[in-house]
Amino acid sequence: MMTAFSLRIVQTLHEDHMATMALLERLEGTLRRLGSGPAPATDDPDLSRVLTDAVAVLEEEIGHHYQFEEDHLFPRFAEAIDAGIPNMLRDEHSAIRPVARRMADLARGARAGGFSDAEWGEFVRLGGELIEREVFHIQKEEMGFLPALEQVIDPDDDGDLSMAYAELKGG
Amino acid sequence: MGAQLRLLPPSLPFRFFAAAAVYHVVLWALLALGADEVPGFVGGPGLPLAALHALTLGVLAMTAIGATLQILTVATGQALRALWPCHLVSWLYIPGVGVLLVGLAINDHLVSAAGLLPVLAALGLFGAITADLLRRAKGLRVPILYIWTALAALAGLALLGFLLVADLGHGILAGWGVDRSAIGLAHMILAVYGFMGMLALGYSQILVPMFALAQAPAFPRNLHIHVALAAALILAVVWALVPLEGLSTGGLIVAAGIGLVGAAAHVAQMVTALRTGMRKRLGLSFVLVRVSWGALVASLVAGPLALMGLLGGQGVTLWGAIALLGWLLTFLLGVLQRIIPFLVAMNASKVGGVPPRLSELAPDMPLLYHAACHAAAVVLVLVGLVADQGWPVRIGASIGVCGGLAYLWFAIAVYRRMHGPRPERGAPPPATGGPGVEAGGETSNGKR
Repeated sequence: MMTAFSLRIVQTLHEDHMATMALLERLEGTLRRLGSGPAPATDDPDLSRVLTDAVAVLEEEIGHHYQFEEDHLFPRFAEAIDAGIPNMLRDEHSAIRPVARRMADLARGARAGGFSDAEWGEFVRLGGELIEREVFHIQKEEMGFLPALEQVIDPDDDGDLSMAYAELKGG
Repeated sequence: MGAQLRLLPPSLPFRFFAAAAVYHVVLWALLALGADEVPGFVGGPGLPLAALHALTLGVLAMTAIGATLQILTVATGQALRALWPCHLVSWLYIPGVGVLLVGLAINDHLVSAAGLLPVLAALGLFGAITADLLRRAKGLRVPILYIWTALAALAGLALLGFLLVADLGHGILAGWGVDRSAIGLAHMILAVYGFMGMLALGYSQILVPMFALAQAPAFPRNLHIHVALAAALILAVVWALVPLEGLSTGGLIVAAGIGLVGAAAHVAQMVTALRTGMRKRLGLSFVLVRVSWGALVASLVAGPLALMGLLGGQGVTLWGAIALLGWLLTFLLGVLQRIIPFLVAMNASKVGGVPPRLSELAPDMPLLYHAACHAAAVVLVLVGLVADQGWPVRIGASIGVCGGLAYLWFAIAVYRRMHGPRPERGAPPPATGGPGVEAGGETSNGKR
């Protein structure tokens, strides 16, 4: 259940979730519409936009959001509350990462030269898995992890964490 | 201690869910066997009364106990003080309900009492466990108010239920000059709109936004809605117990009107959560949930119409069927098919290995069968009541048995899959294929 977050870093993570969910909803709609048959032409406007956004969001989600949580937030959470939740979320990251990475590779390749039928089949199959795993993951983070972070993070650290995340994203 | 350690051993909530799935089949079977007595049923011993309690105690309250013990600990961040009271609740309640159903079905008040006493003891213990969690909870103000209201209603309905069963054997109510039907109506209102209804509305405030990834219902509007619904409940119970016929009916109609406004506002908040939530595709379970919201509103329209005699001789029975089968049972079965795999997946994550996908845990087919059977069963029961005929009820309830078996199949399949083999942590990720790996893979020449 989502609530309004008072800490900037928690709100930023929540906004990442919103961006990811928006992509996943559009991806799911596009995959359903195009089906798992022969590869569609990548000049399909919906597909083209989804591919562009997928590269950006999936790389962001894998490269920055997960890494930041694992490096800065899971240890704080484990120390303050319990190690179980961070361990569970870390395992989910490990399951999602290779799927998202491969999806991003396929999307980047398709933008350059289209899909082969085999690549499209793989993209559809991985898309289904990614949607399922990531939605479940976000539901858990929104229900328990982010609200609890509001209790765990000292408001004085909020600025430093936000800056660290911005630097990580800025690369 | 965090939510992971607050996850109960899965066997604990699941024994309640499994029992509910079994009593769900029993409910429809009893309804099929007693179908000829269902039209016009307004209380009294026999198969319809046993079916009614298979639904209320066996399915609805059973699920509420399992869900409360698990969801409340995670959602409030408060751990149970000990597990043994929860085990004791299950040992008393699950068989106790079965004995009570036998007693009600064969109209034996001693057997009924032998079942009712452990059931009441279990409900009292469950109430104490829940009250302890609620007292320590921080946040979730309005959902917690709903659950407090449900506990108060549980105390009232248990007391009235005890009087009704005692009256079966000893006729004590007539001796006290108390109208048994008034006690029965108050007991029913407390059960439907009090205990089960308040739990359904309170958990909706947590679960619907969670599944839809939506904002929690707006405060203080949700508080105002709760106040209206609680006021309507109190008024309805008071007027049901008032022995002044004309005045009582008028008071009940006013209470239903207030309840209708509150229920419509609650449904509007839930629809807003679904509309604005980040997750739009919520699947079959939320089709059932949406239908149940319609039935909630319809029940609060049907109630006053029945009291005014505008629904014919079957009015009260029709109201009960809409509220119990259309609203509460449909809502519960819709939500439970999301909760069971969700909890199983969280527990499976706890034991290590690659976290399972929800679709690997929850088979679709039995849920499709169940939804189709459930819809047909409820419609046919309502048709039987409107037509004052037992045979549509019998056909509908028989279809309901098939739906109940499909739901049981689903629950068993999910539980078995939780214990099935999964790749170990650190093992290579599931095959994701690669260029040219798929059967019939093409080279770059095949690209479009």
